[in-house]
Amino acid sequence: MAITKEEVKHLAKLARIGLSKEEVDRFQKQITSILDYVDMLKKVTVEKGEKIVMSDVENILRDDVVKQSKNQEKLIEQAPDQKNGHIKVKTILKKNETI
Amino acid sequence: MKLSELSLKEASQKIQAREISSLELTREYLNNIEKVEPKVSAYLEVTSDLAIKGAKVADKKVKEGNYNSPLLGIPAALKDNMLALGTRSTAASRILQEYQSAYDSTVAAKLSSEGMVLMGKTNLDEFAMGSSTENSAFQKTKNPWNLEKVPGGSSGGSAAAVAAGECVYALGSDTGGSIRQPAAFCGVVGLKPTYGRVSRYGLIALASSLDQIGPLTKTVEDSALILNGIAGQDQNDSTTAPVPVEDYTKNLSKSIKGLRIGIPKEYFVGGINKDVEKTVRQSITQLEDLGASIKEVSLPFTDYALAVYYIILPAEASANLSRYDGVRYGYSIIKDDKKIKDLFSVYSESRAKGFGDEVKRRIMIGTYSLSSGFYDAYYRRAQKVRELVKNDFAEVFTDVDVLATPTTPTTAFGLDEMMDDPLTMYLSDIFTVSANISGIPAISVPCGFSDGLPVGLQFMAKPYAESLLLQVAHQFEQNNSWYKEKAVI
Repeated sequence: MAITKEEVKHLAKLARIGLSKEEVDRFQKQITSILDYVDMLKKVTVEKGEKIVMSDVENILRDDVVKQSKNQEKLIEQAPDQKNGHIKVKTILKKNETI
Repeated sequence: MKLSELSLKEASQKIQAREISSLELTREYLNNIEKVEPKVSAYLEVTSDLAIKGAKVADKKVKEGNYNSPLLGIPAALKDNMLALGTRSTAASRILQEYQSAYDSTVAAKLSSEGMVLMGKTNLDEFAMGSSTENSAFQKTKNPWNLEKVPGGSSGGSAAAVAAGECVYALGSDTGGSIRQPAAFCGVVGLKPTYGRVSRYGLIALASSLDQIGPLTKTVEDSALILNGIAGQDQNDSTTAPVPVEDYTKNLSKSIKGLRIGIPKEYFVGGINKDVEKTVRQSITQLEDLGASIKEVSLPFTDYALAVYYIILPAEASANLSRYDGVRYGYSIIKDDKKIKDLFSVYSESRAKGFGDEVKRRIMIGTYSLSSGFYDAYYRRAQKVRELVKNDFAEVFTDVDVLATPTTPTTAFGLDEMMDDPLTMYLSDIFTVSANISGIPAISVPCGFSDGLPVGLQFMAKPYAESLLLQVAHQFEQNNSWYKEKAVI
């Protein structure tokens, strides 16, 4: 199934990946050829409502015990931007903004 | 025999008998790394200081009479998508170029407690996406048997390091063949255990329903010894199964007389190299000579397994890789571009610069197959066909004990040969993906050469039948001398 350049741009936006024009052209062709390949699955008859099982192991439970994380500082230290032991991010909500 | 040619078993016997020290062995490997690494480029980071320190600790233990494990004092390497304290873990991606392991993966912790000497972290395709290790953001690893060929992937660094005598053993991860395919290309043994047998905690996730960690080794016995050290349930990975861990060496020496070995006919059609087919068929004849009964079987959904894989993998990867956002850790555009204004641009520009082509491609395909309107046609359908592939195996294993197939359709291909055509590259996983799709264990062992390049024979068995799998592989290996052949670099 062919995918259009507009669709590639839309996917890149959904996936939060900035693409150059050259990348859009290249990925359009490559993704189309991969989708053509996986389209063979449409030939298989599958039953409606058939179960989907990911693993033979189900519901591994453990006691809900509070544990102190030992490496909080170490984890925060790896953030590109920090302030007072917190991870700093750009403004999320602005007045009248649409994403 | 040079120290660097000893198997894990041989080296550990010498350490236990105090014929050699771990420090001697470790120095020998460090020297060898210095010699061959400029040509092979298997490592992203060589941790010489950690290694020397580890070797001294091991020697002290031996001296004090506390020898406790065949892995004690043995130089090993980890694929660079496994966290180990004191090392970077980059997954061969620019986005994690500076990332310091914040904790030990379960496998690293287990091996450390057994006395591993960590030599370093090995190269891979970025986030383990690829079949040649050429998708690494940092370097191309060469095949030790022929430096113009790829080592396979994505655990190409681990396979090349073992084949080139740069470590005694290495760990890799296998999502669609990433341990077995490079093992076949580099002439070493590669084991993908049952899904759930080895903890994935601290493994940088690619596709969580397919990923599994396993060893790359010089012999099958070595593989069993390492599985003994890393297998088992882990509180930190709820997909590890509550199945008791056996001593995986216990059945190795048993004869395979009377075992039923199935040959799936779908693995011997179109696209397979003639020499590879001939070598594998000769190996099957040998198995018969060893007393196994050979039976042709059929796995009708084989042709669909790769298509299932290339929907499920990107879908899971697109979710797993959403954590690389330029905010939490890893590369961020804010370091390079102070003017960047909004959060959306932090995400999209950090990811644009941090990820390579293959990663971007797969994230977008995954996003596509999970997006509304396409979910049922792609992802849901793929999951259903996945069940059919799995059923094929469940059925065939009522009839035979083990399956034997080629590991790959060809031997190692040339560097740069397939980089422009992702789909053709994907096809080199065609014989290995089914084991991941259905969660069963599989192993690749060397079974001959074609034009100076190693050929791999793959065995598959039912879930948790690693002992049986290793037994058959060991019996085949010991009946030959392929494993004694060493690459000359």
